[in-house]
Amino acid sequence: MRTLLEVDNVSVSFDGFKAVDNLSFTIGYNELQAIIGPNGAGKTTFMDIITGQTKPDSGNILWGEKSTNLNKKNETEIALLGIGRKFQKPTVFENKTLIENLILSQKKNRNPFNVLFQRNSEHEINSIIKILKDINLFNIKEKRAGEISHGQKQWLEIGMLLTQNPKLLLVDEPAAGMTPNERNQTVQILKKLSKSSSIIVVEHDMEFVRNLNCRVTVLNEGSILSSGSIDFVSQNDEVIEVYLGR
Amino acid sequence: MINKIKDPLSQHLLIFVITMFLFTILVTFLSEPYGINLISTSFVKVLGKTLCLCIAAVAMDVVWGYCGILSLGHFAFFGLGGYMIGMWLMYERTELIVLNSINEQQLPLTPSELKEAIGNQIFGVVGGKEIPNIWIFADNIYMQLLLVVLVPGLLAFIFGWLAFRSRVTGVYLSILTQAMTLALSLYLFQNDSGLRGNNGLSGLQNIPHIEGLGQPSISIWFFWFSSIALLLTLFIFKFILNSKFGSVITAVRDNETRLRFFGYNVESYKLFIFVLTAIITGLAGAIYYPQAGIINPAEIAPIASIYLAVWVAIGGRGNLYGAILGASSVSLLSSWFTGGNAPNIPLGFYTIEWVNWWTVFLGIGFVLITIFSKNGLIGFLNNIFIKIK
Repeated sequence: MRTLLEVDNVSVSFDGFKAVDNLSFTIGYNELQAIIGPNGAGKTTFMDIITGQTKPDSGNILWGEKSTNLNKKNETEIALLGIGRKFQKPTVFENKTLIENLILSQKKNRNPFNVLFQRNSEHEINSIIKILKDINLFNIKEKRAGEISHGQKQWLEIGMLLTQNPKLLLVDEPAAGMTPNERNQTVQILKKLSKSSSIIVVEHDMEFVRNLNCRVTVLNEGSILSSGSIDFVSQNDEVIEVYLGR
Repeated sequence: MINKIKDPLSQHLLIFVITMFLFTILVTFLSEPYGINLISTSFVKVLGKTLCLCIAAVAMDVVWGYCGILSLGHFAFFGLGGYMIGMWLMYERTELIVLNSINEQQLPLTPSELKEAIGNQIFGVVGGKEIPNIWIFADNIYMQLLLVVLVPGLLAFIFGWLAFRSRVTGVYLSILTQAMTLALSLYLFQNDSGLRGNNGLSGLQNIPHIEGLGQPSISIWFFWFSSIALLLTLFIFKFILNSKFGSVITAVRDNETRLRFFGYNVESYKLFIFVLTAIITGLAGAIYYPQAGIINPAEIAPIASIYLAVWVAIGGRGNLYGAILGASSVSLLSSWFTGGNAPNIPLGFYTIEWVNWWTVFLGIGFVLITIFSKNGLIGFLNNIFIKIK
């Protein structure tokens, strides 16, 4: 499998505290991976490093075919390369319909004078419709985002990321606060999306990760404890001790 | 389907256009020069002026109700527009008067003598006769009309650029805009500001070259002009608000931080709206003051801009028709109560004189409306309409 993102021996410390310690991680094109770990394991820092919010003290982050080094790029440049991040709390525009939300996030010219006369081509409309279908919200596309459920807002948020055509999606706790039914649908959505882009899911919920049926990396205190299928990692004694066995 | 971002009120535009059309015809029919002489020329002027205030209120609603910038200085732009057109009106008319009086003496004047005579006429009242440099284009209506657009636009651009770039928002921005209009007003109060200090510019109702038509006809013309201007304003803003641009500026209002994460340069959108509404407000002022006849610095005192916000709040924010309803009802009531037409109420021990008590009445009304109808008068009417249905 070709490598999309390679995190190579990266370390970050805050005031002497090693948040991420010699961590290496790779993800291929159109691959779905999950990262789990207890609080303070360095999951959020790991994401921050990829998206450029935090700069690593040592190590490299290499991106894409040409192995572009992301260390020296800022958040905007990294976002433009095609890395999208969904934060835990969904922040959609509640007064706007789902379609309006997606149109707003579309990857298009942001110049005010251009936006004033901007119309969507047939192709762009179709891609928005496809996204709406992918995130299971096509039937309620005219509803205002304030009227939909928390789980649906999470999907809309993912949809808004998709309009930017990301190559890699970082999804932070997508199942938090969802009903069991919504969790199952989220699993389906993420699996569907991983056919056209790579996805890293950070999650607490073991059952949810099990359903994703993908490679799992367990983090603890900034480094990798174990990595492999969910069945493999859940048999690891250390993993059971620090995470599962609590 | 997706290209059309729906506005639930867009079908109301047609109704409004028809209503305005019928209203204009009705007023014309009732007027003295073109109809059955049932309403006075001064009332026609009141109506025309009210329409101009509606334009300013619509602009205020766009900048506040849609974009979330509570500007408490937009009336400064209104006044500046008035001053810019007033300069031409006053200069041209004085020039005509001077030339006329010379004709009787049959002595030709050199250009510098003519300038001095005009300067004497206009600035004698503030103890000068030199024509200040800012009047350099006053003899050219096209240049002065350009200034009606440029001066408010440029002031709004400089002010907005500095304020938005520094990310001044919310109440701090409101205070800053109040300071702007106060500073401008205080500056204009000075005799050497070049705009006749507290005397302001007067005689603006006498439009040079067409004075012979008489005030009744001119007032009707200006009334038509105001009503066309209001419709044009509505069209322009409806177009903007219904485009993706409109969606972006309401997103600025709702959550500008999130919008920034999407890569929108929020400041340039705010600046665009701030400058555009300032220009339109300035144009409204340029139509208003020839009907009012006089403009002085008191017009752009901070309270005027606050009134503008009050009209929009009473009418209903985020709804252009609400702004029109608020501005027209409140300003018409205001001119009725303060014009000495409203009967005073004798209570025996005390007489309620509306001239003094009107603002109290307005204040109570404002409080009641904000408490009982979140969306102002228009929201209240909407609710009634829905219940009847």
